[in-house]
Amino acid sequence: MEASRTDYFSLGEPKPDSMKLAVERRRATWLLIAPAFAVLLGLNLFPIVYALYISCHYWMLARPQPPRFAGLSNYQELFFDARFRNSVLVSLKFIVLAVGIEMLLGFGLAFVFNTRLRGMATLRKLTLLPSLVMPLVVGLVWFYMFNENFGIVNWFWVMLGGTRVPFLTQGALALLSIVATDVWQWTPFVMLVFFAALQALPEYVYEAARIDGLSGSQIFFRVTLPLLRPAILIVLIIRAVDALRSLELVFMMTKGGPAGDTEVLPWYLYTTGFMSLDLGYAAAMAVLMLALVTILSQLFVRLLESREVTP
Amino acid sequence: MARIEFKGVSKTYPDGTRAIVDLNLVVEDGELLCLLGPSGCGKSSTIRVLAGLETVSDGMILADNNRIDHLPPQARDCAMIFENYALYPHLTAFENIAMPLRARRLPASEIKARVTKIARILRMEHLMGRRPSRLSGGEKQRVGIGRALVREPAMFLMDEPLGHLEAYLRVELRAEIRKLQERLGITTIYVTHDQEEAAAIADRIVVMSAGRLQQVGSFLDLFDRPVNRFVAEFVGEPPMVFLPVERTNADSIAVKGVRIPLSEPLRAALRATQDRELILGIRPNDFSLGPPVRDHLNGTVTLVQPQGDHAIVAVSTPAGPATAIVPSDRRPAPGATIGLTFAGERLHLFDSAARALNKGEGGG
Amino acid sequence: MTVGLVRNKDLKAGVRRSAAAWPIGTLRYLVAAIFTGFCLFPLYVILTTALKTETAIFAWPPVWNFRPTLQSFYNALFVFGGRSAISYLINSVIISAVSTFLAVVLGAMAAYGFARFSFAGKRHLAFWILSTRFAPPVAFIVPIYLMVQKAGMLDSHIALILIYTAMNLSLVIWILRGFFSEIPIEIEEAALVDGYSRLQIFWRVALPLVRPGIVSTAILSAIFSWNEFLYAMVLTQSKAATLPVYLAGFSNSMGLAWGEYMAVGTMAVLPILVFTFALQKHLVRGLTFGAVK
Repeated sequence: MEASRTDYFSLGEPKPDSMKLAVERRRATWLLIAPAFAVLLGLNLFPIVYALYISCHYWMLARPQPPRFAGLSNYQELFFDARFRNSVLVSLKFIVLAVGIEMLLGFGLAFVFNTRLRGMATLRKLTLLPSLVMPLVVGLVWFYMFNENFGIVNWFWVMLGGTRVPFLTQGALALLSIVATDVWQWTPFVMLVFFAALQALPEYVYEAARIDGLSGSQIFFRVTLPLLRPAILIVLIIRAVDALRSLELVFMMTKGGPAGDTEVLPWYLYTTGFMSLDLGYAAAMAVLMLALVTILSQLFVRLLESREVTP
Repeated sequence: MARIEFKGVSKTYPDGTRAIVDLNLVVEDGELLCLLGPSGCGKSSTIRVLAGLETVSDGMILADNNRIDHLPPQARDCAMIFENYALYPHLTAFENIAMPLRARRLPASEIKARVTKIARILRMEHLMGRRPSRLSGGEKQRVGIGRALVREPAMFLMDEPLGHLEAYLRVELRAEIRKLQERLGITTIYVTHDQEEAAAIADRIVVMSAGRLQQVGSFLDLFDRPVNRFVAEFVGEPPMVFLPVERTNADSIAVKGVRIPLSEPLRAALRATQDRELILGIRPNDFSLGPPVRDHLNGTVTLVQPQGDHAIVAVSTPAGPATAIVPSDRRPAPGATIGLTFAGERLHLFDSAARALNKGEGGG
Repeated sequence: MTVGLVRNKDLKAGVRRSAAAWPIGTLRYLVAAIFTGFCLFPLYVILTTALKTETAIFAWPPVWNFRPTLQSFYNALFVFGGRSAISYLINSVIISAVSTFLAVVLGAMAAYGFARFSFAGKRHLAFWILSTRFAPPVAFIVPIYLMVQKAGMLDSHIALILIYTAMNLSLVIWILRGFFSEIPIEIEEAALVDGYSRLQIFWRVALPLVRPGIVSTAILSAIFSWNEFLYAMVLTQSKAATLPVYLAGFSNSMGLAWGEYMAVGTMAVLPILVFTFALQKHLVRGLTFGAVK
């Protein structure tokens, strides 16, 4: 198997000039990468460290006293904080429901669109719009549609024989409404990824499968599904992390209510930090969240690596 | 084991390409038949239509007198070996070979036994745990062969299986394939564009061009008695030399005024046609080179390519370019004027429709 | 009834061609059409609500046929309670444009560096940069707010521009790295032999060849900057506030100014529609960071 040459490292450089060329190469590398690296260092790495620092202090913006070192007591408090536990639970419920439905729907729809019938490509391209639209506007319009008094969802529900329902202010329904909105917004994205993965499947493998005598369902479970595994995992991680950190829908539609039923972790963090102005406590939550995201992103990175090995 | 018959089979693709035109062919039980021809001649289409990967536009295909052209690939008892191996990338070599057996839901113990047996025959036991990405081209194709063998099917279909392999591997593997096929006696159809390969392993060869069957026979049949100009030119390396001739009589011809001696059968064939536009065909090894002789075909040597024990000599004659093969120690110098002689029995004549004039010997 | 051209190679991915192909085709169209309609319907609602009169907006049952009016747009843009949407719109445009420009420039340079050079720790650096894509804004705003405040850059354009640049760098670098790797290195080697310096090769040879990648990452970055809400809301007030900040103020309007906010929502969404169709080809590659081509 040949290694493909993509970098200068494998270039055989002429001997007499090799020193000069090596220096020039190092200079070029540095010049090219440093600016981007600097930006990320300052706006990504440093804030993480700073957040760690803040989380170890009592730091309330509303009070006149200066921040005071507190060790790990913010974390300790979090551990016993029922509201924090609730927010983690709500986030978990949200992610499992929303991402679960998106994955299943998106997967099935990808097969529906996996055809060269005329016009399907245009339809498919149109479906992507929800995933690109400003999430805040998504929250706005679904807030309108879920409204108890004049919302369109209620209109459909009444047409189907129900009575008007306060979707966004009644217990478990509120979270389900948010889930539904998220599903509307992100199923197209999931579908698109699976569609691209399906299109990339090598046709000859299917010819071999048919000749080998595999039935349709055997082909699906033994060939298609395993070959789609990398795409499934990649989309799962992307959606899980994005669902974990999403805030716009709760902000626009329920503001964490009713009674904490839709208070996802980002919302609790946001209100703690920018309404209660308790920065230290919020920072502690942020650090925990970052830890979780780091684990997931490491998984993602490892996945991408292994994908490059499979033909 | 199966006797395969193509009856009036045609295949036209939706974009209008006529890949197969009215194919009538019988593949005898247990023989290794090669489909030979240039790219686009329809040989791959023929094998795909037989496998069921493409549908037949017209005509029918029979296996042991049962019609199969309406069946899906799963229902036809054929195994296929692909040019690009077509292995399952996510499965090990073992699982790749086992797949046809898993499709038939055989018990695990039997699958294991049969796959290991195949692995041993192909000398691949140490590779069974590897994925295709970690196998070389030759190893991958062996796995492909194993996957086909493990089924003990009624027919083997091979679509240029050695096309992507290096030269020495091609020679080695084709011998293995031939030995296996002889031992198992399974009807095999082998597609290739390489006539040397076809000559080496086939019982019979089918030459195809532009979707049509040109000629079917053993290599020697095709070599000695080509039925038209295409077969004459395609089979044999270096290719046959063609020179335009004038008809001087009912049974004699001349090239640029030089009378060409013809054998009796050829003269009889010539008398049987009125055609005035004829082409003479001579194989390079049927030429002899010597000093130039008056009233004979002479020419100038333009290029000499030594090939070890023989040399390929390009000669420019008044009638056109010619190629000759001579023993190395008899090769002329470039630029020399030489005379070309040939035996009358070794000549081929083609009419204006590019058909060979029937010399009436043997069959065809 | 023919519903479309069904070809032999149509049903890919192992779906067997069944004898009755047309019911499946019709079913596909049905499901696809329903799904597409479902996707587009709320967008339709945004537009129509923006064009409705106040009575129509609050009507029950909902009004489908109505006389459109541009009153809401007018209010939002020029009148509304001293908070005209125009400055927000302008800020959004400026900040998105500049941050996209920066992200593409810096990102292309770094991407080329990763594609063509090797150095110690390259793999780890590359994966770290990739992982910044997952950075949750809600976790970062606490330290970043303090940082920006201490730097005296609250409610400034530059703060948001820099933050959005950092936000989009990961995407730009990762995608363009793939594009740069696809350029046959022989082209650059020939330029080296001709005497060009590495940086000149980057600028004159490599960059022009990845133009499609630049276009799609630029559009994606612009969309992400345009849509971003949390950083904008926390770090700006009035001078540099962007459209999402305006929209976030909806709750303060006591949930009554639907028309005006839908109008602004329309303005926030319209550019996306325009760009999506230009983007299609490399969209998946962009959105999944090249994991799926």
